[in-house]
Amino acid sequence: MTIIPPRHGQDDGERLALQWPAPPERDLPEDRHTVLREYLMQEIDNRSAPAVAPRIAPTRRLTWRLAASAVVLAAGAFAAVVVDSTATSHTGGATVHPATTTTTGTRSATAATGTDIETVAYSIQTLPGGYVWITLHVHDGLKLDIEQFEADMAKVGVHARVLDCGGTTLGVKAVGLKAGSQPVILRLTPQSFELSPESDAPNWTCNEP
Amino acid sequence: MSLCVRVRAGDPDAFRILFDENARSVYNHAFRLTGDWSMAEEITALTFLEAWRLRSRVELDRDSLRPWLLGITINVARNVSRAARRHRAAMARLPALGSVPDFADDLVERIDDTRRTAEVRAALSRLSRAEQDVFHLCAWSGLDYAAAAAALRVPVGTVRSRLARARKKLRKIVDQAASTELERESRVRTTDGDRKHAVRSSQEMNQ
Repeated sequence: MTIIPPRHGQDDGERLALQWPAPPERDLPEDRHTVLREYLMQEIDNRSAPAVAPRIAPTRRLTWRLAASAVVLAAGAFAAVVVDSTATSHTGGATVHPATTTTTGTRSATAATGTDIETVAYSIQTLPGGYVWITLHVHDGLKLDIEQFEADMAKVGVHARVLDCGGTTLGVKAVGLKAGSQPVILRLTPQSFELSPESDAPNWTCNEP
Repeated sequence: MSLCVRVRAGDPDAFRILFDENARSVYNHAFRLTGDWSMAEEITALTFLEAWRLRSRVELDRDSLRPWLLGITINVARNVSRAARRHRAAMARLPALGSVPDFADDLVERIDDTRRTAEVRAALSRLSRAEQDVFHLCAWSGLDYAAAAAALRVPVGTVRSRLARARKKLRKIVDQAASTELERESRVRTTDGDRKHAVRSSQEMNQ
């Protein structure tokens, strides 16, 4: 350690900074910056809002956690999953076609930039930086229309194959993806939510691996 | 309306701005405190959750909320488990972090940061906690005395005296290390000299 003689006017902090230089500053990687910020906003939202009745009555709250080891993320893609505190159990039932659901949900699509798609089952929102935030709302008696869901994601540049393994019951709140990144697989099961680049998981099924 | 006022009022948009403007500072500050990039991410998340919880304490006349956030970061880093307990439900929802491999170059640099920081942190561990705090805020995060005082909620004079003590102690550590190094080199030279002398004597004897 080199002792640097103090310069006139320097305070102890400046002298220490010269003698013991800080490690170089690193950026919080852009994807993690976005994930952490949206996580904070979601938590603020949860804490700010009074206890409101869910849009469709829940039967019970689910505790769910992301099995981190099961999540394989593509470089250039990111994922964030947040439990919807109003998540409900799923009992199967009629398929809700988002495009035709008008009683409990609305559907809208605007121009390619800033497109927002809102259905009873999910919403898709574009964010600055080419990210897309997908929120799933799954409730009793509803089932995701996979084809429509995939098509709607494709409209905003997210090419995803969805494996619905009875897992649209989680109340998964949101998943963030980078538009234009390589195709991904989203696998929804009652216990987990998994995301992988399709190239890494071409053989994924509901049971494998 | 100033950001301080909006943060104190619990305006979510103000927190979005607060995060965008300060997440990098908090993240790096957390790394310097812990020497662990993954933990720095967790501490960053907890720091902003704590900021939300403590928003009513924001002083409205501040030019910047960065010192306030860095002060919270210190408290969170000092007791991560307590902060995590306080936000248990939220932490259960924290997205998996640090599981995405970074690009190789970046990873190597970050490992190097960790190694270098560990050396300095070993020296800093010989300071009191209060002295470490002012070192981190003033020397490594560049806060002036008044801002550090606001972050730590202590008088400016206290920051000044703690920093002077920290500097004195670190100077002593450096002097001790230099003295130990000189002694070691001296021993090596002596041993080396003795060996040459012994070899020469042996050769002389053979002649």
